Amino acid sequence: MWKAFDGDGRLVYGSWVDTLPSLMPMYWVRAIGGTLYLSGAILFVSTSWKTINKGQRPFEEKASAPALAPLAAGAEHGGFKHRMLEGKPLQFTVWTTVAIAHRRRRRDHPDHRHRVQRPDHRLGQALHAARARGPRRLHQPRAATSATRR
Amino acid sequence: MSSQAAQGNLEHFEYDDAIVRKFTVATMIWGLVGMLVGVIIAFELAAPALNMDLPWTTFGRLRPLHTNAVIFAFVGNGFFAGGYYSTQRLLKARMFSDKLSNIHFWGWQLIIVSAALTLPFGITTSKEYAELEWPIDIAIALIWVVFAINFFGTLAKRRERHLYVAIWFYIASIVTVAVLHVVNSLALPVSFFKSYSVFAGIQDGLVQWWYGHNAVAFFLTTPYLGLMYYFMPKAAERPVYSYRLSIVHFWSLIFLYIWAGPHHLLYTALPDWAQTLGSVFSIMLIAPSWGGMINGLLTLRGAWDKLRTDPIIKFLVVAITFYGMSTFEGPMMSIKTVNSLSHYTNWTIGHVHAGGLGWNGFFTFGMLYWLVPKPLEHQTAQPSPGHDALLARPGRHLALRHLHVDLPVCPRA
Repeated sequence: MWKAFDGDGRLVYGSWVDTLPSLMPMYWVRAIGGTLYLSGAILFVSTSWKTINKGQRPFEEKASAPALAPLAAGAEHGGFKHRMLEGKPLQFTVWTTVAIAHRRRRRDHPDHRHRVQRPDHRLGQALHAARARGPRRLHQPRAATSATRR
Repeated sequence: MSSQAAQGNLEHFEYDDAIVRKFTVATMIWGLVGMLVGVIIAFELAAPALNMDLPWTTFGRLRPLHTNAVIFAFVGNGFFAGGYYSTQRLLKARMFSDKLSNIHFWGWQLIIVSAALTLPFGITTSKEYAELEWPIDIAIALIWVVFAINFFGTLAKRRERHLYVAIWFYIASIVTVAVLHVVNSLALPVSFFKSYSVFAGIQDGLVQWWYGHNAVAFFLTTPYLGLMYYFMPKAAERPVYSYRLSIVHFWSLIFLYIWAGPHHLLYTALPDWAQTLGSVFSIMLIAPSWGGMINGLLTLRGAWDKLRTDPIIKFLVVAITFYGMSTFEGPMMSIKTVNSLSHYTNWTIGHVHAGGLGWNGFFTFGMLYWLVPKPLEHQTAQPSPGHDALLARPGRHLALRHLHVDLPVCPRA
C-alpha cells in the first residue's frame, strides 16, 4: 500500500499517515496477542513462585572435584596451537580486547593521506572550501586553514 | 575422571545457588513488568487515548521503558541466573566472590529501577537501546566490570581444564558488551540528566547501530546460546549433537555479527559501500546462526519423544526454532530490495519480537522450569558416598547422576 503508484508515478497514498487506518485492525491483533503472551508469563511466574518458596536455606549444592593439575607440555587438548589459544582463556580474552579496541592513528589512514597530499583535486578543493566556510568540528585537515582561503 | 583424580586431591566445595535464586526472582518480576508495559503501549497504538494525555504515559516515553525492561532486566537477569548456575558447574568452582555476586545483583537491579524512573520523565539520550543518561551509563559500566571480575576470577580458579563452549559464549558476551556499551555511550555531560554524544551525524548513526545490532547479538543471542549449550543437553539428557560444530559456529558467529550493524542504516546517508558491507555480513550470518539452531535441535536426536511429554523440552524447542526463523528473517530483511519494502514498517517490530518472545522468552521459561525445582532436589536428596542423588522433579522420572561429571557434552568427560 505504501508503495502504490498511479499511472503518472505518483504515490497513491501521498501521506504516510494514510496507511495508518488500514493498520488499525492489526494493532488490535497485536495488543490481544501480547495480552495472551503476558497471561502465559503470569502463569509461569505464579507456578514458579510456589516452587521457589518451597526452597530452604542454605541455597547451596555440595560438590567435589579434583584440583586443577598443572598441564603437562603438549600432552593434551590437541597440541600446541589449541593450548596457546583456547587453552588460555584469560590471556586470550585480554589480547582479543586489545585487538578490537586498537585503532590506527588518523594520519596513517589512507583516506586522510589522500586528501592532504592532493588538495588540487577538484573534489578535494570543493571539500576544503566547504570546510573552510562551514562549521569545522570533524576532519579538519591540517593543511587547509581559513586564513589562506580568505 | 579417574586419571584426573589421580593428578590432584579431591576438593569439596559448595556451588552458590542463592545468587541464582535472586536473579531468577528478578527475571520473573522484571519479565512481568517489561511485558506489561509492552502490552500497554500495544493498546496505546490501537487506542491512543489510553495514554490519558499525560506526558509520562505516552508511547514515546513508555516504549524505551519496555525495550530496556525486557532486554536488560528480563533477558539480562535471565542470563545472569542461568549463567551463574552453569558457570559454577562447568568450571567446577564456586563463584570467585559472593560479595561481587551480590554487588552485581543489587547494582543491576538499582540500574533497572533508575531506568524505570528516568525514562517516563523523558530523561533520555534518544539512542535506541542506550537511552539511559550518562550517570546510569557509568553505573552500568562499573557493574559490568564487577560481573567480569567475578566471572574471570572463577575462570582462574576453575577445576576443569577444558572450557566448554558455553563458557566461550559467556566470555564473548561479557567482553563485547563492555566494549559496545563504553564506546556508544561516550558523551559530554552538560548537566546531571543531559549529555551529548561525542559522535555526530552519520558517524553517530553508525556507532549507534554498531552498538544497537550487537546488543541483539551479544546481549540477546550469544549469552543465550551459551545457556542453550548447557541447558538443552541437560534437559534432553543427551550429549550435544556436535561439539565441533559448536566451536566452529561460535567463532564464525562472533566474527560476523560485529559487522552487521549497518543494515539498520540502509537507504540513509551512510555511504553505499558500508550499507552493502552490512548486508553482506548479515546474509553470511545465516550460516553460523543456523549452525547453532541445528546443534540445539539435533541434540534431541533419539529423544524426540520427550517433545510430547516434557514441557521443558517443548519450551526449548520452540525457542530454538524461533531462533532459526528470526535469524533467517533478519538476513532477508537486510537485503536492500526487501528492506526497501520492510524498513520503517511494523515488519521490523514483528521481527524483533520473533526473536525476543520466541527465542529469549521461551528459552527463559524452559530454562527456569528446569532450574527452579533444582535446589529442592538437592535438599530432598539423600547423600550417599561418591554420589549426589537427584530426586525427580514432579512429572519427570527419577534420575541418578554423578555430579562429578558435569560435562556430559564435552568429548573428554
